[in-house]
Amino acid sequence: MPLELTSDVALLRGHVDIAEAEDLMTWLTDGPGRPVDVADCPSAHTAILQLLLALRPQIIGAEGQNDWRALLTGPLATQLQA
Amino acid sequence: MNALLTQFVTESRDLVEQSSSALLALEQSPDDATHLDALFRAVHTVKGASGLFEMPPFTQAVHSGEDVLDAVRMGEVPFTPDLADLLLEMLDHVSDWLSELESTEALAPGAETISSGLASRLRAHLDAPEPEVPVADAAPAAADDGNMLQEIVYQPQPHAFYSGDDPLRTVLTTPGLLRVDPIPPDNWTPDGDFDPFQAVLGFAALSDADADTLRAHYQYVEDQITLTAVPAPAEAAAPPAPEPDPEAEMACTIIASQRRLIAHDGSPVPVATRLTSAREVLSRISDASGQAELAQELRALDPTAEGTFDQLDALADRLTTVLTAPQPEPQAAPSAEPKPEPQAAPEPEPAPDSASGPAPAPQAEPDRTDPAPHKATAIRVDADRIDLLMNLAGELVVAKNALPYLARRAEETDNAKSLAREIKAQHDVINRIADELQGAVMRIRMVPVGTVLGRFNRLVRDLSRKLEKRIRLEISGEETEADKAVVEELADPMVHLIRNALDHGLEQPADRRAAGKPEEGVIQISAYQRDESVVIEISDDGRGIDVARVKEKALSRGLVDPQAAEAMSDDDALQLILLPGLSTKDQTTDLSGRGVGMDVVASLVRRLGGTISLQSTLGEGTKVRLTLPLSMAVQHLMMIEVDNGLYGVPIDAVIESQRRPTSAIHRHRNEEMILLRERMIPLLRLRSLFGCAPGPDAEEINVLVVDVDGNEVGLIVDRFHAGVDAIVKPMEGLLAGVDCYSGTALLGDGSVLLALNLSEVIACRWN
Repeated sequence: MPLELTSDVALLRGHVDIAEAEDLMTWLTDGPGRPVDVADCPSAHTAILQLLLALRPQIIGAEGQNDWRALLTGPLATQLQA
Repeated sequence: MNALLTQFVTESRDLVEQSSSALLALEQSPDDATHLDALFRAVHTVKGASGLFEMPPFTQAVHSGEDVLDAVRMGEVPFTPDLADLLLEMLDHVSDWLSELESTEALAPGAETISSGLASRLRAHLDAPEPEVPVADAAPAAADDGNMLQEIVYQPQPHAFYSGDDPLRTVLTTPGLLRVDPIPPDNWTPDGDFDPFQAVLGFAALSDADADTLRAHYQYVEDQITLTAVPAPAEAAAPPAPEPDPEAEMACTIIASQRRLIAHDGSPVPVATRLTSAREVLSRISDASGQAELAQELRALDPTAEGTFDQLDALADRLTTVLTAPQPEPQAAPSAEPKPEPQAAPEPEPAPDSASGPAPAPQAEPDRTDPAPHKATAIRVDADRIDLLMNLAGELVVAKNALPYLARRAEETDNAKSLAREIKAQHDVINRIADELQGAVMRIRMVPVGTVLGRFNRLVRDLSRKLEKRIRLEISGEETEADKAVVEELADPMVHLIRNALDHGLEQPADRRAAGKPEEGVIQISAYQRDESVVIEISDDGRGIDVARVKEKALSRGLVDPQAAEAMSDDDALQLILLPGLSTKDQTTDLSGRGVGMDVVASLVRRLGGTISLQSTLGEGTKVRLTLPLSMAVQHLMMIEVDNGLYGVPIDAVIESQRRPTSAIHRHRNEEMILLRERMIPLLRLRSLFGCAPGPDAEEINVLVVDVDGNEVGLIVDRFHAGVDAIVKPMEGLLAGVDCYSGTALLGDGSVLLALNLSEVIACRWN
């Protein structure tokens, strides 16, 4: 399941596609303050990134990642190719 | 060629034609949604289909057109004549590209530039806050050496997700990706609640790949990105490269040339003079560039003193360095507006201040208004006609099967008469089938003249804009059918005639008002069938032809002698216009750089085996009538013999054949004439015209009286022969230029008949 919603946390796994955006948004607005865990989610649709940037919930597991998750907290800078 | 590509080219050609018609119709009635829809659909289809092939410039250009049309449909953008011009220009380029694809399966180099130019000009019509469109890739293209990076700003359209786009993925898979920054919108909730399915997040990315690779990667969303070259090292949001100052460039060029001037040895001009002049130029440049100090130093130099040359050169060098130093701050503000487009194609502007004569068309631009460039090699045919052909082919097979049986009979029987009867009967059957087959094939080649006539809508529209005259084109009889070859050949003469009417015939709106005519001039083209010919009439309600002036010019040019001119009726005098060397306009107004003489048209028409005649009333208008054979194939010929050679004369042209006594010939100067049925008919001895030895003196002559372009001429021949139906094939290769023969035909006994083109034959006589 790419999106697992519990009462405490939203777990994103694998690749989360645009189809999950609506459910995630409902969960976020129903209970603001609950964290979103992206530690196991290396890939997601733009809509998901957009949603998280717009609603700004607490994000777990985005530090030090070299993919879309970096954009949740700032720019993504890859290694400069020689 | 790739079958898919062939189909694409054929279908796209059709769609382009449809687009043009819809566009022109839309201009006439801007509120008619059906035309706009038709136009949009056609353009949309072309864009979609082109996506199957590797042709980004093509797709990009058409895509921009589609976007503008979409905005027009939504009512966001007004449909102006300028926009129409631009869209027509886009369609023209698309036609060119289709031809290139057809011959080489690829777009010619330079398509990229043309496409970018078109795209940016088209997008300039869109109101939406557009990111700056990249104008010239020229500078960064040279910079793949690690000094230049590309910054991509990707602002997806709100509906991006619905199109199946995933901008994040596109950005993350960018070739040579170095850095990505998300660009949040100013307002996350533009419509109240946050809509997760609306794409509002933008991206800025930095890449060390080259512009072309990036363009290819982003090709499906090219309209949503901007590509800018930035110098490395890449800090966050590096500023775009400073624009080179065109003035400074020019100044440097001038300085360089001045330095060459003063350094040049062997010039006849003394050194001091050159130094003075160079000093003057350089100090003026310094003044203009705000380099007052340098200007002062330059002016202080004494051209006659020793060593001035070196000092001058050094100062020139310093000036150059100062001018090429990087600007203190990048011109961020001015670059926000869309910059003027690169030299894709100069737009034809109507000249508002030219009171006399139209502005000449820009030479660089190929003649867009010429509807006759492309001769299609494929024909559309009604399925019924093919079925008919199939049936006849079947009948022919059955008929031929009778022949082996007849051959056996011939071997066995002694009864020649009955055999002859059977052979004749079979011949009749085969004859009938052959005739019907002939007719069926001819009918397949028949196409409606509307295919050619329809193209003139565009011609009239463009020319009337250029000449600033209001002109309406009315076409009738488009369904009239004629042979495909005839219809295609028609385009050229008709273009000439329409140009003439538009340029010379129809007056300026002011003149028309003064003459009590409606401001809008009318050109009518009508087509109909008459007997074995198709007739096309082009009439205008313009100023008409001044017959008196025509006669005058013809007399002064020696094209007709005074007595003949006296005797001529006005109608006949009009035909004088068709003579080469006659032009009643003292200066040729150059619509397209071509000399447009009526004689050119007349010879084109004659070459097709047709005739041309004129009617005109001064102050009211002119009508030109073209009569062309329905088909260029089967002709009914009358055979004549001249010096043992057989020639064919179209039966339609023959009035009568007569034997007359030689004594009946009247001589008038060098001309021979004969009185026939109370008319004086000029005679033409074909033997002498054809360069044969004169025949033996005879008591009688054989005269074939023919009608050539409305005139009667008596051809003196050796013998008359029977009529024959023959398929006249035009000659090809080296002989194609011989105008006197309309072609050759094979006779039943295998010999070759030369078919005469009477108009040309008669014309030869006067040379």
